[in-house]
Amino acid sequence: MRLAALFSGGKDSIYAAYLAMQKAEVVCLVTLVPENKESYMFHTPNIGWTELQAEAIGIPHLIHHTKGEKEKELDDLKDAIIKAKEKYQIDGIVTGAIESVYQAARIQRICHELGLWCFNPLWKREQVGFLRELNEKGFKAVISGVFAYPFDESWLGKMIDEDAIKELADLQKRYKINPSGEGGEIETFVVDGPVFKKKIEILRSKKTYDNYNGLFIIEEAELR
Amino acid sequence: MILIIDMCYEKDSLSKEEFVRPIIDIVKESHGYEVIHFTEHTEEHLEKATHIIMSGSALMDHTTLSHIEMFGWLKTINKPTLAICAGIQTLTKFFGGDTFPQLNLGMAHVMVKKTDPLFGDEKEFDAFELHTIGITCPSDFDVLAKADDRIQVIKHKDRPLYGFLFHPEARNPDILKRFLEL
Repeated sequence: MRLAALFSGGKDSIYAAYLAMQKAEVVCLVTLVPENKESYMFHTPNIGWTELQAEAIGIPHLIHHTKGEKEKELDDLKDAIIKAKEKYQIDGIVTGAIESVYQAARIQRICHELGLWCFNPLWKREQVGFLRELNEKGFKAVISGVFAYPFDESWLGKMIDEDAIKELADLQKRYKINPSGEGGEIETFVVDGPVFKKKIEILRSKKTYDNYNGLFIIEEAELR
Repeated sequence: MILIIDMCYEKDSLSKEEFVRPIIDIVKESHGYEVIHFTEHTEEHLEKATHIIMSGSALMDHTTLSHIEMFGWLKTINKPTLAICAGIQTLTKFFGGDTFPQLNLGMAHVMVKKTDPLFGDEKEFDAFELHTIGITCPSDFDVLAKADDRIQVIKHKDRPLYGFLFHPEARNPDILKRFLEL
């Protein structure tokens, strides 16, 4: 089966693609990039670096530019999947959805309309266990954004290693946060892992932070 | 031992992560279990099992409906058996009910029509649907719950065989936990 992986560059989408590669052929990575630089500078500033990740992984990357308008997200996603179907003759897609039935149902519907299989191999994963598995398999994910209490500035740029996982598990107990960031508490960017032929070295970065909202913005990076 | 039957298109498929593993995660908290693909069950598996759970499968996957002959054991099994989505469709077809195109994706509001230990005290609740095929109630079964006009849960009149059109493993783990206590 030929699959396209929806690809944000974060741990969920990369790990879902990795699991799909064990059972099927992942023939392209699909990323939605807002045309309006202003919109992504403030929300997903590292989305441009998915190109370098795709190069490191060695799978063709389909970048679909969107207007970045919230209410048109669904049409944009459908257009991107249509492009992948036409260009790479895919039979289905794989997503990193874990918990959101809203997200899962929307993508399932698009796939149904296009006659495509839809795989969500992380569906309902217990989150601390998932982070441990990610770490044990050798994926290196850095925290590229924090968007909720009690995440302070020190989390920005932190690697999700065993110490960080313990801290996240503790925050889950104390503050009921989703340790994997499924509720939008954190965003991640993967720099290395078993699917990477080369690893990404972040050479220059900057942080912005205010009132439990912060970004780790990659300014310069290369493959090694 | 809880026997979990993988109803996906092939053994160890990519869908297993999505439709079988979430059931395992609920079962393993309190019970030992064994997972087999629907093509590989034996008398011994059925003999050893105290309860049987048949998983759902992907929206595009209707494989079990063209392999009804694999489910002859449903004719006589008298152990608690719970069939989810592809499972209820297979159960319905096996017992002579109809299956027909019916697309429902997302949350549904389920109304209990007949009380049952699996619902606890709940009279209505929300549940996650993911199917393109609906069912009619086979004559040997009762309807236990509906969402609007859609049959959601059926139960055999004489045996503890349940069918669930929605996916209890997604948003209603308590239903599975109560089933394990039968």
